Parts: sequence; structure tokens; C-alpha cells
Amino acid sequence: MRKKFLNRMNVMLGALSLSLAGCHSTKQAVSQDDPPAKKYGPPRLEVIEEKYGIPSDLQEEPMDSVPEPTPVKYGPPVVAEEPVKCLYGVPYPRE
Amino acid sequence: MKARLKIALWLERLRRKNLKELHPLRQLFWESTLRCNVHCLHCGSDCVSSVQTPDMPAEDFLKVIDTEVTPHVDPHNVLIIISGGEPLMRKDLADVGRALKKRGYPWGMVTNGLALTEARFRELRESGLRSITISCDGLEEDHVWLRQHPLAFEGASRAIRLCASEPRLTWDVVTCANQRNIDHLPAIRDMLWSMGVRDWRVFGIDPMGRAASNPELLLTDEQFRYLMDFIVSEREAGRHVSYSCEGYLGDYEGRVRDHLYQCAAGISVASILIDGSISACTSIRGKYYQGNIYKDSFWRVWEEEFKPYRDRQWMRESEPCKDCKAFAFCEGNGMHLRREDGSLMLCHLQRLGQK
Repeated sequence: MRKKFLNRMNVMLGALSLSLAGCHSTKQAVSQDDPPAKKYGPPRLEVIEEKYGIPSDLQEEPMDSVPEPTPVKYGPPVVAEEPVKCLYGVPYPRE
Repeated sequence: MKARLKIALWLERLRRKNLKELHPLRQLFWESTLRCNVHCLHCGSDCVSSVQTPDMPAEDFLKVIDTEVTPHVDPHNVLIIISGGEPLMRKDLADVGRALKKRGYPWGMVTNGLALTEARFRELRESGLRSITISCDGLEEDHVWLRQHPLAFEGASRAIRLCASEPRLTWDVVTCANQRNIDHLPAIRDMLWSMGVRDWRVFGIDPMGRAASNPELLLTDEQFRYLMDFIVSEREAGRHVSYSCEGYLGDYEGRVRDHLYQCAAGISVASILIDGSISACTSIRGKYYQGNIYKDSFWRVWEEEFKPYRDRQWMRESEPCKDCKAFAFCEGNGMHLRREDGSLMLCHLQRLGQK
């Protein structure tokens, strides 16, 4: 019960604090003012293997066995409506 | 400081207090290898290309996931981040990814991109890779200098283009600002945007690991303030550029990140390091380890230990936190900035001249 209450409180606190602080994501699909690529040219198409050969550490060897997973209790993934903030490491995945 | 921001910070403090009580595990780092195919000047992991510390067997990590973590969490709410060294050095990376995907865990990785060929990228995507961060530390010359590998920029560029071609992947680029590239930030931005980057995080380099003895890697206070102002202006121009999660930034709070400062280490972030040590973020080592998966129950440690992370009043015992009025919001800055003796390596407020 307390856990539920704290979670709900935190959702409200989080939204309120971000709103007051003016935090917002500036993520955009495409900016109209994207700088032109003229300085750096179009992306080069050659892949590194063509020039330098495939590095030896890319020889693939499958794992001998993968342990059977513990059954997932919670059903299929929930698609997040809003991206969760990235705290560290990598950005939170979103659909 | 504006009143609105101050109120926001007090609310965030209350939210953090609740979060410490709840300590929901939301991010789990796995330091899968210390092997690396580059030799970064600033590496905090002190990574080498030879195998001095063997990789943790994937079965050991997956056993912890199955027996210790999965019974207590909704896997869909726990992001597993595979880090290193360089995770691509592990030949079984896709197999581990598939195993995590089967178990319902979203997973991501941080990479220098050097070994990320198109084939490997497709394989990882099929294995459930949901999120990836590519390190790119500047224009070609500066990136190669920092990474100490002649092909480092080629690799990072290719990795970025692969990610940009994948519409359903969450990804971004991270740049470590240093003396060599700080004046090139606008040019780096232009270059990254021309490659398709739309999420860019810029870090400073902390005085730890190899960086501790290399002043060329560390920004001056003036350069750090310039970095803050650069990010502010980029965000005002509508580009998603952010500072890293570390450091309480005073008047810059709310302006350089999508969130207010918090150090989530040990509160919602844990890590399993190469030797089985249980920590928070992978850069938090030594006396701050909380246990070891080969001796302790990971979940018991997560639930009952991590006391220095969840009650940080002990940081008040030393300067500059002793009488600092900002401690209520800062709580002693990031845990990874604490030395073994508990003293603080770096106060961001001091850097910004706000203390």
C-alpha cells in the first residue's frame, strides 16, 4: 500500500518539478535548420572490411548452451507513451 | 536562483527521498569484459586489449538474472546495459542479447563502434538490442587522438550511420569534451547532424583512471562554463543536446538536461562488474562495492545494502559539502566522484563559480 502511494506521489512530484523547472525534451524529428552536409560531404559508402579486412575478433562462435529462461510473469512489453529519461549509460528504449 | 527552480528542486528532493525508500531497480549494468580494441586516454576502466581479467561467463550473469532479479521485478521495466571495455569484443554478445530478450528484458550497450559492422549490427538488432550509445569525441583528428587508434573515427562514423538508418532504434552519441575539442563543438555538432545524429550528450572527463594524470583531458572552469552555455544555446535552438547525468549544476538545472539532477547510483541503478562485484555505476569501485555475486545474493544486497548510496549524510563530514547550502539538492554530487577516503574529486558548483 505504502509502495503504491509513494509511486503515485513520485509520478506527481516528477511531473510538477520538471514543469516548474522548465525541463523539456528538445527532441525533434528533423530540424528545418539542419546544417548542410557540404563541409563534410555525403556519408562515405565504403565499409571498413573493404579497406582493412575483417578484424579477427569478429569470428563468431555460438554459446554452447543458453539456460532456459524463467517464465516471464508480466506479459508482453508495455509500449511507453513517453520516453523515460535517460539517467546514465544509454537512452531508454521506446517504441 | 529563480523561485520556480528552487521549488522544483525541493519537490525533486522529496521525490528522491521516496525513491530511496522504494529503490526500484531500473538499470542494471553488466561489465561484460575489460578487453577493448582501443586504448582511450581517458578510460576509467583502465581497459587493455589483452585478457588479464577474464570475461565473466555469460551463464553466471544469466543465473543472477534468472534466480535473483527476475523473481522480483517486471523485466520490461529493467534496462540491462552491457558495458566494458568494449562489449563487441565478446563473441557471444548476440547470444546474451537473445537470452535477455527471451526473458523480457530490454537491453542496450555502449560502444566505440570500431567492430560494429553492418552484419554484426543486424545480428544484435535481431537479438533484441533496443538502445545503443556511440562514443564520438570530435572531428576525426581529435577522436583518433583520444581513442588512440587510427581507425577509431572510421568505426564511430560507420556505427553512427548504421544507427541513423534504423528508424526503430533508440540511440545517441556521446562526446567527451576536453582541451582539444572544446573549441570545435559547433563543428562537431554540424558533423554529427550531417550524419543523422539527433541526440547528442556531451560529458566532461572526470579526474579518474587514466585521465587523472593528463591535464589535456580536463576542462578548465571557464571551458566548463562555456560547455554549459553551448548546450543551453543548442537546446534553445531546438537541438537535443544534453549534458551528462552527473553533477548538480545550480542555475543551469532545467536548462541542459531533460531532467533535474539526481545521482541514481544504488537507488535505481546497479551493476555487476567483471569479477562479480556488485556496485552501482560501473565507475564506482573499491570500497563502495556492496557484495559479490559469487558469495552473496544479489537481490538481498540490492534490498538491504547500498546504505552509503541511499543515505548520503556521511558526505557532509568533509569539504566542500560540510556547510554547503546546496547539499539539500546536490547530496554530495555523484557517487562516482568520491575517492576511497570519501573526499570529493569535483564539485560542479565550484566549477561554475556558484559556490
